[in-house]
Amino acid sequence: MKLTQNQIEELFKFTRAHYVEYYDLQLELVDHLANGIEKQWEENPGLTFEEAKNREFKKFGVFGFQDVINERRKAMSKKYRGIIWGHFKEWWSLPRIIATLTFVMVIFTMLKMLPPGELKKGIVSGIFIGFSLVMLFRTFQLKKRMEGAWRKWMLQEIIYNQGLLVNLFTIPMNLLNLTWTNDFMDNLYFQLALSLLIVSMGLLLKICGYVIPSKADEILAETYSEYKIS
Amino acid sequence: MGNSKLYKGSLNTIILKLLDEEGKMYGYEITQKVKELSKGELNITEGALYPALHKLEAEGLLDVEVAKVDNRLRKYYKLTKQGEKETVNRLAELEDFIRSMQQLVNPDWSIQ
Repeated sequence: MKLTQNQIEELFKFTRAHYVEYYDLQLELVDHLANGIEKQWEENPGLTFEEAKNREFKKFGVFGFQDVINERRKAMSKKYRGIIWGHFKEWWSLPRIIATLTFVMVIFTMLKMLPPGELKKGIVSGIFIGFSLVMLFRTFQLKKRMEGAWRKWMLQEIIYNQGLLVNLFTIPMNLLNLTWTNDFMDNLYFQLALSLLIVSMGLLLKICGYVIPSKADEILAETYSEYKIS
Repeated sequence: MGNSKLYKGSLNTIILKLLDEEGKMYGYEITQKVKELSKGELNITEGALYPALHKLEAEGLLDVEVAKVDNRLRKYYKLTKQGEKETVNRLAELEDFIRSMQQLVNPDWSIQ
């Protein structure tokens, strides 16, 4: 005996009720439950849909679908880091290398020329605060895009949710305020390292906040075969 | 039922080997195939299978294909080129492991 379309819809509702928000996972779990139920009906045709469904769900253990969701998130985050790394490597064409090095030199010269003292620290902090604000604004923009979407995809959420990057931008800012003394700030090597860090962070912001989200559809279609079908 | 802890570390290799033999398979089919091949001795739990499949997919060892079967969509997993190479390596590692274990528990025994 095969499941009806209504019963398949019931299974989708069931996965959503058990905190599986993402269509990519729902699809797989629904097919798994459906296969299990049909197998049970072969052996015991008297079972109701509800009984067979609950028996099948129990096989996922006490935490239900939670382990599957958590591990899927880990796998997708790993994939996302791979996507960032791929874009980072792709970035280095000759004109971009020149542009990036120019940025490093401009910031380095600025740090060298600024008078010693709190002003220098303030400007660098300001740059990192600026990065955080841009990222927050971008996250807000991207999240709005996802609102009201008919289907949610885990990788799409990871691509659009850049909250963690804001934390990353605040690390150098906190270090700057807590530990970096004015002597440090006037050291040429430190200024060069700081210039490189600022440009690298700016590049990360560009890749994660703009380049990757602009290719989200393409990346999702590549990752999920079901993305095109749905 | 067999001691699942002993099998746990080999789950990924079992999946890779099955896909190498069968071409492409879906999650439920893998659980049933393992049960059948091990004559019910090994039962892959659903909570372990999907995380393993997703991890292998993220590592670039598996590719996914979706097809409409009956009234639902089904995800099939198959080996990528990298996955095919990795299967050979992992099987060789597993064989070495079995050989070492055999030497530890039964020094007179040998595999060809």
